[in-house]
Amino acid sequence: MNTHERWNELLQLSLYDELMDKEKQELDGHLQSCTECRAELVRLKALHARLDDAPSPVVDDRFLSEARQQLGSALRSEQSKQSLLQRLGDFIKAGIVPQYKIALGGALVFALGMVVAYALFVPRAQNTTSPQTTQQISPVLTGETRVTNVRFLNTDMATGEIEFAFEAVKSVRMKGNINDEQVQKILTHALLTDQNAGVRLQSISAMASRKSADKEIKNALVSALKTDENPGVRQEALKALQGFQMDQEIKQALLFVLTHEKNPGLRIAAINYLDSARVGSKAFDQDVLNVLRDKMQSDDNNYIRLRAKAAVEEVRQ
Amino acid sequence: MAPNDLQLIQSAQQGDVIAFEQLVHRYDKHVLAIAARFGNSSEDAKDIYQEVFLRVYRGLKNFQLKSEFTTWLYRITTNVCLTYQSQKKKDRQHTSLDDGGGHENASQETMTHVRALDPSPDQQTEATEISFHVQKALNVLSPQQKLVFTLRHYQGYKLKEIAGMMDCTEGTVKRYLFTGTQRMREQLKDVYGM
Ligand SMILES: [Zn+2]
Repeated sequence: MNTHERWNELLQLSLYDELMDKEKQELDGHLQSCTECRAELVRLKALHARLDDAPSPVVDDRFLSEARQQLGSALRSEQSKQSLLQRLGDFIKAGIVPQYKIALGGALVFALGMVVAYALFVPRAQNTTSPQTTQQISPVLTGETRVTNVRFLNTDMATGEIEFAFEAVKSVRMKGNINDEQVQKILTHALLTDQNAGVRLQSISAMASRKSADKEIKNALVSALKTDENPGVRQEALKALQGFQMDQEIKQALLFVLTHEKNPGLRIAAINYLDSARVGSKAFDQDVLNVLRDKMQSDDNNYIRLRAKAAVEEVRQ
Repeated sequence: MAPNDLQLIQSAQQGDVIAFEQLVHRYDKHVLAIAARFGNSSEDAKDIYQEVFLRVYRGLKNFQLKSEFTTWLYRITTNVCLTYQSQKKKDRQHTSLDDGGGHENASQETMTHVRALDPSPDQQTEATEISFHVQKALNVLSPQQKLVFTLRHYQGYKLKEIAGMMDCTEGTVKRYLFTGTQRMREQLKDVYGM
């Protein structure tokens, strides 16, 4: 590299404050004697000023919660995929199946057994589907496991390779009290991970019936309220939260809803809840007031504007 | 007291989704900021963000508890950025045969993106125009140059930190910054005469 390229590099690094002391002294010394480099420094500063005029994209709460919602649904499908693979893997690893047997019977199920074997083993052994592989996989279809919702993703008739997805569900029956920690764990897990919005809703209603206020449940509800992509689930989460003592986290979640939620019904529920929780205490906190003042001007829902205005004016008296 | 990263990781490794979520929420704003500056649209940013945390989720089982979580997270983030092909680019490849004007469309989209993320677009047309030219210039850089440049210039990470994030030497990062800036300058020269 020629010497001026080196000075150019040092000049650039100096604007980022990334020079070592020795380099800094060297550069200062050089600048005193070199008009070319002094002119270059002026040009570089102008370039930096231009670059600084281009604002960085704003990562606000709304953008963040959109990203989180998208991630949430991706994780849900990842989790269901993983647990299925794990279950299949466990069966294969266990190497059970001494005898060939298909317990569920019926041509359709048998066909599925073949298909399962095919999908798992064909990529490795291209040409053969030996009976053994079918035997190895058949326990997946024994006992109380249900295979449902088979979706064919890709089929290549020429090579016989296929790709498909299905649900292999082994149901577990559990009876317990909603105040039991284990039960709560399973329900909060379902609320945050189950792909089926109906299951998420049911988890919430079960949680809403618990007696003691549990922090973990509250967190899961706050999280669902802010990030679940299904508005029905968000609404139920908000309802369930009304059974909790109002605190900072719930208040912040309600303000989040008021500011970012697209569904006006949820915003209305949030403002109603904020207002009703205030009874007894004298005034709204400053952060609530700020949001309400903004809402009485900017919300596109008439009711919310009026409600916010009334609440703000009531405080003023 | 809030649990530390290590406790959250251990719980998450045992399948505790709430712990995983807490861990994500601790750092995801930084990741999204990097993705938003690196990607060409808010959709790109969300895609990068999602891919990063899916990889974290998949890799967490094998995560060595003695290593630093943030180092690992940022390595994944820079890897995803470097290998990311924006949706727009992918679409363009699909349509390139029947659509000769793909490039114009791309510029248009970059423009919309900057507007979309801008908090008050009508007052900032000038800033928007600069953003448009800067974004266009950034897209001329190699992924490495672009990443180093955006991390240093717009996100304020020090070169040493960037070297850690990208798992390379500080000297390499310096070169990317220097050559990247030079190329940016050539691109912007036509517009601003610098
Ligand atoms: Zn000189």
